[in-house]
Formats: sequence, structure tokens, C-alpha cells
Amino acid sequence: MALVIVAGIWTTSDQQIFAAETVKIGFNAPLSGPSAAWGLPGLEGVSIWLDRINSAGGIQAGNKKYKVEIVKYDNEGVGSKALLGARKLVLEDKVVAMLMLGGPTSDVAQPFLTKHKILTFVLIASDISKKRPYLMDVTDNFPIYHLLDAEYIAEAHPKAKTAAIICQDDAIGLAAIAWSEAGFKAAGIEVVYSKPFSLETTDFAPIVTAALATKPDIISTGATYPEFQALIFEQAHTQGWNATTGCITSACWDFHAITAKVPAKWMDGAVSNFPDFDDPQLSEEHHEFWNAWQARFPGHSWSEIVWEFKGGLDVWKYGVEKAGSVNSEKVYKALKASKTVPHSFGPGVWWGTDVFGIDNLLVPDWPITEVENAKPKVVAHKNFIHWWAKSENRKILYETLKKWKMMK
Amino acid sequence: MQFIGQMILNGLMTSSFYALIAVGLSLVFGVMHIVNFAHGEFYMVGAYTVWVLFALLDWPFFVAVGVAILVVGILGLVSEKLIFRRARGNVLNGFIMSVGLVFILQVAVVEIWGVGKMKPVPAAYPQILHFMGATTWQRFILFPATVILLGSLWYFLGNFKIGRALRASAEDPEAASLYGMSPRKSAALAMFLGSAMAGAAGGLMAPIMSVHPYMGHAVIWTAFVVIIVGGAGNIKGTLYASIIFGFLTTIITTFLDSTIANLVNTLVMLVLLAIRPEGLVAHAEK
Amino acid sequence: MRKSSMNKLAGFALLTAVMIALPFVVSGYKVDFLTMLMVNVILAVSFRVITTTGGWSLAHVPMMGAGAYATALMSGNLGIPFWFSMPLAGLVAGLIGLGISYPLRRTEGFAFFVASFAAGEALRLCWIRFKIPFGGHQGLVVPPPMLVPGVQWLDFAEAIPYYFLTLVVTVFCLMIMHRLDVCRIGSTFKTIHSEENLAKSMGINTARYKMLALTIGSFFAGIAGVLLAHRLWAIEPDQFGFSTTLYLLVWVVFGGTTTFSGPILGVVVLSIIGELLRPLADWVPMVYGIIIILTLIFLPGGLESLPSRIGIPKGKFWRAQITVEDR
Repeated sequence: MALVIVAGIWTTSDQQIFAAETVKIGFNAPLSGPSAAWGLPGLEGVSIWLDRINSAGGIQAGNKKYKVEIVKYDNEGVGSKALLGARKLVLEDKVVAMLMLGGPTSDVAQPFLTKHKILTFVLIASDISKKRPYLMDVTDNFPIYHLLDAEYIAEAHPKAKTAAIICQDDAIGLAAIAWSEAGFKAAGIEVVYSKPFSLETTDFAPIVTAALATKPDIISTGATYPEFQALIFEQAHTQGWNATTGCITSACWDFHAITAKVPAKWMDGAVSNFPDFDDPQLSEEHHEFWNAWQARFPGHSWSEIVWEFKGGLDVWKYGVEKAGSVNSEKVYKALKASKTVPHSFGPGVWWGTDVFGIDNLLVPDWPITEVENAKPKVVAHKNFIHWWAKSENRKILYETLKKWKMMK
Repeated sequence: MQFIGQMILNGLMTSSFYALIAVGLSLVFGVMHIVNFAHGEFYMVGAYTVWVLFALLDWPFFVAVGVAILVVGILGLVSEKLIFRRARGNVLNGFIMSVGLVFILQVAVVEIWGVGKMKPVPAAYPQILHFMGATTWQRFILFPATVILLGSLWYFLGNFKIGRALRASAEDPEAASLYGMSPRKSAALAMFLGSAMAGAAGGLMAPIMSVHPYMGHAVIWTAFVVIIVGGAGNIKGTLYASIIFGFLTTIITTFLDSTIANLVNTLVMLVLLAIRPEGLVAHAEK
Repeated sequence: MRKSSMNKLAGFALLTAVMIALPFVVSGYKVDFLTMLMVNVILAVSFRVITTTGGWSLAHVPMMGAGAYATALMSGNLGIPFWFSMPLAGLVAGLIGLGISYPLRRTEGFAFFVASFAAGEALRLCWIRFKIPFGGHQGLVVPPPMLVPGVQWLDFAEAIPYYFLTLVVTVFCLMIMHRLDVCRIGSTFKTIHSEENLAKSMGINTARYKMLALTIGSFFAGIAGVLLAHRLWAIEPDQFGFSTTLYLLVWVVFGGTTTFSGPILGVVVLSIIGELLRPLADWVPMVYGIIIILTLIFLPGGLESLPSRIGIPKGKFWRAQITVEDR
């Protein structure tokens, strides 16, 4: 499919002679609504990336330089809106790649995006499928890392025997439940509560009451929407649950929102997967990004969303440089041709054929964090490929995924 | 046993919340024959007021709630004067006008404070309290606050001349003039009081629920159900209905889920309306 | 008399020519806007069918949803081709409308308003709660219509072919509803609204006619839902909820419900305003809110009542455009 590049911005200054062409990328994510916390902060990291790239003259594709522009669209986390956004971004704005959160929005927007061969980066690995060859997850390893979290918890808290999983009833929540359950089972922990709650829920008191009645050592909120997580933890704290033999585990939280509702001390020991980028175990590059973000957005709440979309842009840039072109298809092929691709957390490999049908997930060594004094600190690294190598683990994963209808 | 106690406690909270919202709406309908669909947005404005004053500016919590009550009460007054007065008692027109108000308020809030992530409001009284179950003082005060507010309203309607005039006009608009109060004045007063209660509900709930521009949406339907079943305009009836639905919702949500609870509430109202087609509305007008 | 019908015909022909030419003149994205506009026109006009009997049914938008869900299930799960799933889905919506109208046949005015709202909401809650088969909160994916299998250039997944499909269906539906409006049944509806007791004394079973109106209105709302579903390729319960109902009410009150073209005017004018304000899209609901409040204060009959208010006798405005000698 012919690639259309929109002509750059013509200024009346000297730069006219060196006017770079502009290439556009779509940001089709929830900027409002219950999942806004998984879209909106992404723009912060993206803006830092854009400034750095564009002030250096743009990206290099073959012998051409392009300035990059992001066109955003608020799909409110709703499928039909995501499609409308995709249509607009591709047909009117002529984007060459799309950044999306994924989940229910992928189901609706992907047929269109696949038809137009638009490279799409999502944060939800379970969206990957053979029917969507151009959809890739190159940053977040949701829901894979839940398996690793469970393994770590079993090692660090040998006395914890039971787990309650509290997630919402939608594609993302169910994926979190399924993979978390598989992880716990494989680690020898019994899942005593896994009922998904309705998205309409405003009062979490009765739900937490029901969950606590099963006497869990571990409470897992997987990928529950951040606002819900804050309310759930509030209830758990109020109703007297404490992490004595076990701990809390969660993937994507909004720490500020949570500490507005519970004392920060109560969250100590909580296991997650996303360090702050000023963590001593991370690299200089990470620290630089953290400082730049702090300078530009003081007082904002840090979460993995801030850097994950920009992480996608980093991978895209790598692909563009390898392919020598901004053409969506060519970039995709170049990426897949590389055995390892630099991921934000280090070199990653492509995986996914056994479970998703196609290996479009980039898997690096993933950090495990524990909260200490209201800050998540890296305590371990785990590699999913090692977990996957054990056949007993694989068996449990397949069984659990089939139980939750994530796999035929 | 703790489980039952916890459930009763949760039910009490929910009923208080419903009562606070529904009674205001009921009062407005009884006196003005207007169903103010923007009542949910009034509740939202109350919550935002507390968010701004308490969460952002660190004012004491109850002061912030007090201001919220005033602010929303005045908002109600202004709406009555500029908008609802022109409906001239036509229920349908009044309803459509309130729909317009819904849009106006939602967009106003979105433009001022943005949509996007919900605003967290810290609990003012996070200390835990054990009373049949566990809750925080923050949630628990909903109950005595509701009792005080509704009790004051009841006292006012019964013991002050203006109050009695208001209650009379809920029965019959002309009757108010017997007490020397013009229908206009009683409409304004009803609107002020009813909206103020919505503001109180919003302010008290701000630390408990998520604060965002569309939070009114979630409450208005249940408020509707409560006042229809309780009898719009009938304060006592609305109160009983609030209690019934509060506990019904809590019990069903605990054992099943909140969507089923909503569904049950809706069906209850539907069945009642089908059986009594002239409506349970105390003063239905075509 | 002949002159005015000649004018009407000419006007209609002009409109048709414009509608046919438009999609080739505007951008792909705007074509979708026009398609949605037509869907909303069907929705508003079918709503008016019910208001002619005096009932304001707040279940109307959920009826559109019923059609959408029906076609999603039929064409998605059962593989029924569009030609059949569309009328069948409309039928499903109509039957649900019938089902609702029965218990509500004796409710009137405000009680009917609220009860219809409750019925619609109950239906919507079922879609949310029962993931099998309705997909719950996430809704359902809807396949683009496969109308003429194998013919490549008539790919109805593309905007322009779908526009014409919608145009044909819309014209067809409007013709039927207009016919209904001017015939005996239509006048009976209006009599029931304005002179209920008189109608009853003439032996007309008013309850039955009201039920008929609700059923027919729901059928066409269902058709609108089908057209919506097959273009958006996904439906969610929130699309058929309260917000959409509010917009419907605003369109219809703004345009007026006395004449057949009132609701059409309301939809078209407000939608165009909304589209023109696309750079300020956030403010559009507020603009609508202000417009509707002002309309109710200053022009309670809606836009359709404007000519008579300004003092132009009905019909004369158009007669000025085209003069055809009446032989």
C-alpha cells in the first residue's frame, strides 16, 4: 500500500532550505473515562521523546530525515470509538503507525488497521493474534509478568498459601485473572477468589467483603483500573486485612491515587513490575528520562504508562533505521527479522507463537519490585523464557487459559 | 456473623446516600412539578466543590461540605430563576430543560478541570471504626449527617411558617398562597433546599467515590427509581423507598453483582408502574 | 394544490441529486458523518410516530439497540446475510416494542415517560449483565455487511458504498412512515393524542393504537440500529444509553414533532452545527443544552413552527422558488 507522507511545516526562516518532511503517528488511547490512567500519562513520555528526536533533526530513514508528529485521539476505552479514531487517523491524518492501549479496542479497530497494514503497538500482549500480523507488543509484558510475580511471591513468602484476585469484568481484567491464576497455581498457591466485578461498580465495600471472607494471604488486583484499585485497597485496609503471611500484588497502579486512600506504610511489601526510573538498578538512560520527566511534569504521578508508549516509539525508531524507510510494512519486517530488539529493560526476544499464534511479543528480562517506604524498588529480575521452559508450567497455563476461554 | 454485620453497615451507608439524593429530587418535583434531571450534576458540583476546597486548598472537611451545600443551593436557585420558571409547570418541558442543564454543567466542569483521570479526594477521617462491621469514620458519618440534614428538613417543613407553606404547596400549588407565599417563592425555596441536599450528598461522598464530570450519571437513575416508588413529592415515602432500595442494592451486590442490583431496582419500578398505571407519582400531570 | 405538490416533487428531486453527489465531493470521513446523519433521521422520525399518539417513549434508543444487537447476533453468530438480518432485526425490535407496550398500555403522560425509560434501561442492563450472548460491557463485534458476495467494487466495508446503502434504506423507511402518517392510521394516532375521549366514544380502541404506534416506531428504530451496527463494526451497551436518548430528545424538541419534517430538521440542523464546531468538539453538548433551553423558552413549537411565527403562510416560501404553470 502506498505510503503517503504529509508535507512538513514550511517556515519563513532559514530552515526552509532544510525543511524536513513530517511523519505522523497516531495515539489512539483512552484520554478520559475509567481507563484514562492508562492512556493520558503516555502523552507525557511521548512529548519528551518528541522533543529530543525533533530537536536533533528528526529520525533517519535511509537517506531521508523526518520530523515526527503525534496525532492523538481519545477513544475513551470504547471499541467503536477506537475504530472511528483509527479511520480518522489513517484516512485523514495519514499516520504510518499507531500507538494504542489495546484490549477491547483492538478487537474492533484491528480488522481495519490490518487491512491498511498499519503497524500498531499495544500494551496488552493478549491482543496478539495471527489474524493481526501488524499488531505488536514491544513494551508491556501484560499479562505474562503475572506468572513471574507469582513465582517470586512463592519464593519470598513461603507461608502464603491462598490468593484472592479482584479484577473487573472486561477483556483486560479477565486476562489478568486468567494469567494470575495460572501463575499462582504453577507456584503452588491456591486461588480462593477470582470473581470479576462489574464495571458499573461504584461501591467496593461488598465486593471486598466477599473476597476477604475467603481469607486470602495474597490480594492480587492484576490490571484493575487504577481508580478501582485505590478504592479496593481502601476497603481492604478498612476491613482489617493485613499482609502478614503474604502481600499485595498488582500490575499497573496509580500510586498517588492509592496513597490518597490508604496509609503509605500499608503498601510496603507490595509486589509489582514497574520501578521508578531513578532506581539505582536501572541505567543512566533511565535516570536521564526520569529527570527530564520530573522537570517537565512536577508533582505528577509516575506510572509505567508514562514511558511505555514512548518505549514503543523507541522500538519503532529502531525499526525505521533498520529498514531505511517509514513504510509501515517495511518497518515491521525489519523488526521481525532482528533476533533481538532493544527493549526499555534490555535486549528482548520475540515470543508468542505457542499461545498467540504469532511471535509479536518482545520479551526482555523483567524486573520485580517491592514497595519500600512508598517507593517500588527492584528486588529481582526474572526471565519468562525460563518459566516457559518448564513443561509443568506450560501445562497449567494452557489449562487455565482454556478455563477462562482465552484459548481454544 | 461479622459478615452479616458488615452487610448491614454497608446497607445503612447506601440507604443514607440514596435518601440524601432522592429526598431533594422529590421535594423539587412535589412543589414545582419539575423532574430536574440535572440533579445528578448538582451532586457532581457538590463533590467538585469539596475536592477543590478540601483536597486542593486544605480547608477543613465540614466547612468544605457546608460551602458545597450553599454553592449548589444557589446553583439551584439560579437554575430555577433562569430556566425552570419558564416551563410553567409543563412536566415534559421542564424535563427537557433540565436535560439542557445537564449538558451545560458537564461541559463546564470538563472545561474547567479537565476530564481524564478521576480526582482523588483523601479521606478526612480515615480512622477505622467498628460498629457491626468495619468501616472508616469517613464513610460512617454519612449516616448521622443524613439523619441531621433530613431531620432538619422535616422540622423545617413542620414547624416554620415558610416550611408549612412549602409542604402545602407540594399538595396543591394554590394552597401556598393561603400561607401568604407566592408560588414563585415556594418554587425558589424548594429548588434551593432540594439542590442543597444534592450538594450535601456530593460533598460527603467525594472522599468515598470517584470524582469525575460524569459521576452524576451513575446516581440519577437510582434516584429516579427511588422517588417514583416512594411517590414523588412524598418525603416520607421517598425515605422509606431509600431504605428499601439501599438494602436491596447492598444485599444483591454482595451476593451477585451491582448490575443485577440495578436491574432488580429497575424491574421493581417497572412492575409497580404497570400495576398502577396512573403512576405512583403523587401529582401526575399530563 | 397541484402546484404545491409539483414544488414538493421538485424539491425532493433536488435533494436526491444533492445526496447522490455529496459523497464524491467530500472527504471520506465526512461521508461517514452523512451516513450517521441518515441513521439519526430514521431514529427521530420513528420516534415521532410514537409521539403522534401522545407518548414520549424513552425506550426508543434502546429499541435501536435491540435492532443493533439482533443484527450483530444474527449476522455474526448465525451468519445470516444482511438482506435478511436487517428486516429480521427490525422485526425483533418491533416485537420487543410490542412486548413493552402491553404492560404500559394504560400508563400515560409522565408515568409512561418514566416507565418506558425503565423498560429500556432494563433491556440495556441485560445486555451488560449477560455476557453470553450479549458481550457484556464490551459489547459485540459486528461484521461489515456482505451484500453481493464476490463483487469487489461493492465492498460495503468502505464508506461510500455504505453511504448509498444507507441512503436507499433511509428513503424507503421515510416513504413508508410518511405514508403511514397521512393515511387513516396516522390520523387516528393524532386523534388519540388530541381528542382521546372523542376517539374512545367513537369506538376506537385507543390502547391498541398506542401499542401499534410503539411497535411500528420500535421497528424503524431497530432498522436504524442495524445501519449503525454494520458501519461501526462494534456495538456497546453505552451507545444506547442515557446520553443518546438525551440527544434524541434535544433533536426532536428543537425540530418540533407536529409535522413530519420537524424531527428531520432538528437532526439535520443540530448535527451540522455539531460538525461545524468539530474543532471545539468539547463544547458541543453545552451548545446543544443552551439551544434547547432557548428553544423551549422562545420557540416552544420547535423549528418547524418558525414559518408561522414569522408570519409566512405555510407553503408560500417554497412556492416562491419554482413556478410551474398549472395547466
